[in-house]
Amino acid sequence: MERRYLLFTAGGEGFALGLGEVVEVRERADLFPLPRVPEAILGLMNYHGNLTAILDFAAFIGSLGRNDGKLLVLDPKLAALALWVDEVKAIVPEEAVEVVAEGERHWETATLNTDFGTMTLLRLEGLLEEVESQLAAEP
Amino acid sequence: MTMDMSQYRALFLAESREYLEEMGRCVVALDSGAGGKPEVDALFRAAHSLKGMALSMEFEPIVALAHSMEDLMVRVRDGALSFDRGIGDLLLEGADLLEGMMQDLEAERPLRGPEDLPLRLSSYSPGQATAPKAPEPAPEPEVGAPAEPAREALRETPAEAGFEPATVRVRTELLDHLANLTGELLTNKQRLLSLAREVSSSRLDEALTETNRLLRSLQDEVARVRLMPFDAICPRLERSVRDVSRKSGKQADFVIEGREIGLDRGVLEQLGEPLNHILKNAVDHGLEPAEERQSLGKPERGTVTLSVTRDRDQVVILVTDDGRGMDPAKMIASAVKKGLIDPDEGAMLSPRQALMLSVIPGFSTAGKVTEVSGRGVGMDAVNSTIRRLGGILAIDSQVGSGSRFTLRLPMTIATVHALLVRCGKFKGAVPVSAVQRSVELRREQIRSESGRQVFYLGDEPVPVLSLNRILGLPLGRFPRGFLPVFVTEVKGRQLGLVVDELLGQHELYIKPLGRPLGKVAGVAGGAILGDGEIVPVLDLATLM
Repeated sequence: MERRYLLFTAGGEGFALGLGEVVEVRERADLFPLPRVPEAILGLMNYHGNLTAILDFAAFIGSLGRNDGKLLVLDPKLAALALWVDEVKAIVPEEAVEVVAEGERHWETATLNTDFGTMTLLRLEGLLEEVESQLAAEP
Repeated sequence: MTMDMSQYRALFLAESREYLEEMGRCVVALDSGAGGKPEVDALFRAAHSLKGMALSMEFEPIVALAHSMEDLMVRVRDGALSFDRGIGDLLLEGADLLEGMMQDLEAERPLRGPEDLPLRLSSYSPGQATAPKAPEPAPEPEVGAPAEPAREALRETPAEAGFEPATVRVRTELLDHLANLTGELLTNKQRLLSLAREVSSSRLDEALTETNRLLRSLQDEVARVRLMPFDAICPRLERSVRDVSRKSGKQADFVIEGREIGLDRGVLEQLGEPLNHILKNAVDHGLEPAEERQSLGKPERGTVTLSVTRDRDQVVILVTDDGRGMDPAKMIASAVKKGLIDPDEGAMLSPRQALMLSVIPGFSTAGKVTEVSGRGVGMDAVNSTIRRLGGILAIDSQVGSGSRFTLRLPMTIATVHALLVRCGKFKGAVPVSAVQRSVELRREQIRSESGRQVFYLGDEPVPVLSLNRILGLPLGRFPRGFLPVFVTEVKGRQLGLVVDELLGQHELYIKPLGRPLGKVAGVAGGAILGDGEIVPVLDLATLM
C-alpha cells in the first residue's frame, strides 16, 4: 500500500509523520499533571482507557507553540503518546514529497520538500528515546 | 506443499516450558530423596511428550535431545539404572539446553545444536557422567554419530505417555484484556455513581446497586481466572537452591509449604527473581558450612523453608533459614563505614530498622562477593519489586538462630487500595500497603534534631519531609495550623511525608504508563478516578 505522510507545524517549523503512526487528530483533551517530568510533557490524558502522555512538540524543540493547536494521537501499539502541535497542514502521498537531505538529529529521518514547504520527517523510535533520555535526566 | 506451523509455535513453546519445569521439579525431588517412582515416570513422560511435540513441528535438534533424555529415563524406569546425581545433572543440563533452543525459536534464529549431550545421555553409567559408553537396553545411535531417533518409533500418540488435556489454554494477553475491561467497567461505575448523586432517582440507585453487585462478581471471577498456584514457580526455586548448595558446598534441605496457594499471574511472574535472590542469600550467606554447624550443635544439614499462606486478600510468603542470622550492630557499622548513613542516624535505628539497611543500594555485609550471591545490589531490587507489586518486605533475624524474610503481597494486582493525596495542583495515589498511618501534626510537634525535622511516634523519632518538595512543587501553607502527614517506610526507615491534603482511600485499577512515561522515576502507573480524573500512582521507594 502507498505510504502517506501527515504534515504539521509546531513552533514555526514543519514536520511530517508516517500516517500509519497517527491514529487520530483531535482537539485538546483534559490533561492531568505529572510530577518530575520535563516541561514539554504537559500531562496525561485518557485516550479510550489508555493513559497517554501529551508532549508539547514546540516546547520539545525549544520553541513556543500556539494555544489553539491540535493533538496528534500516536498509535497506542507504538507509544502512549500524543503530540500537541500548532496545525495539521495536509496528508500527502509519498510521491508528493521529495527527500532532500538526511535527518540531522537522531529523531529525524529526513528533510522533505513538499507543496507546503520544507518538513522534517520524524523517526518515532528516536523521538521516544529522546523523551525517555530527558525523563531519565530529570532530578 | 508444506504446512505453515508458525501459528502453533507459541503453543508449542508454552507447553514445552511446562514440561521443562516439570523436569526440574522432578529432578530436584529425586535428588533430595523426596521423590520416587511417580517422579521417574513424570520425567519419562515429560521427555516423551516434548519429543512428540517437537517431531510434529519438525524441530529436529529438540527431537534428538528429548529422545536421548527419554531413553535415559527408560533405563531408570526399567531398573537398569538407579537415579543418581549424575543423571540429575545430565537431565538439568538437557533442560537448560532445551530452554536455550526455545529461546532460539522465539528469536526466530536457527536452533543451536545439542552437541555431544545426546551421546553423554545415552552412554551414561554411574560414576562416569561424561565418559561415552555403549548403552544397555534402549536402542541407541552409533557412538560418534548424532543421535537420530528412528522416526517411526517416535510417532507415538501423546496418550501413550499419559497426557490428557483437561483444560482450555487461553492466551495470557486475553486474560490481561479481560482484567483491563473489568477495570474500565469499575471506573465507569464510579462515573455513574457520581452522576446518580446529581439526579437523585431511587430507581436509578437500585439499578446501580445491582450493577455494582454484578461488577463485583465479575471482578472476582476475572481475578480468580488469573490466579495460578504458587507451585508454578517452585521448580525454578528448587533448582536454584540445589545449584547454589552445590556451588557453595553447603548442605541444605529446602522445604516448600503452601504450593497450592493461588496468586495473580502478574504477581507470580515477578516474584520468581526476588525469591530466588532471597533463597540464594539464605543458602550462600545464611547457612553455615557443615563443620561449623556441627561445632555449634546444629544439624549438619541446614534447612531453608519457604511457606506460602493466605491472609484474607493477601498472600504471605515466609523464607526462613536456621543459619547464622544477621547482627543489627554489624549492619549499622557496615552502613556507616560505607557512608550510607551517618553514625548519629545509626544510633537511632531499632534492630528491625537496622536489618532493613540491607535493602539500601550498595549495602552488603558479605565479607566477600561469591559466585552465587552477595554483590550488594540484589536486596534493593528485591525490595523495589515487592513494593511495585503493592507488597511489603520485613526482615527478622536472631544471631546464631537464623533469619526470616516476610513478603506480604496482594493476591491480585488488578485493583489496589490507595490513599489519595494532594500536593498543590497535583493529585497522586499511594498504595495503602506503603502507608503505615496518617496523622495531622501541629507545627509544634515537629522538632529539629541533628539538623533534621522529626516528630515522635511513641518513642521513635520519625524524620519529616515535604512531598511537595520531593515532587518539585511549591510548599503548602496550612492555614488551619495542622500538617497532614502519612508515615511510610523507605529503605528500611520510617518517614513522615507532609502533603497539602489527605483525600482518603480509593479502590483503584492501576494502568501502565507505557512508552515513554514508563521511565518516570517514582511513578508506578496511573489510575482513572470515577470523575474521569487521572492520578499517578507513586512508587515512594524509587521517588526518594
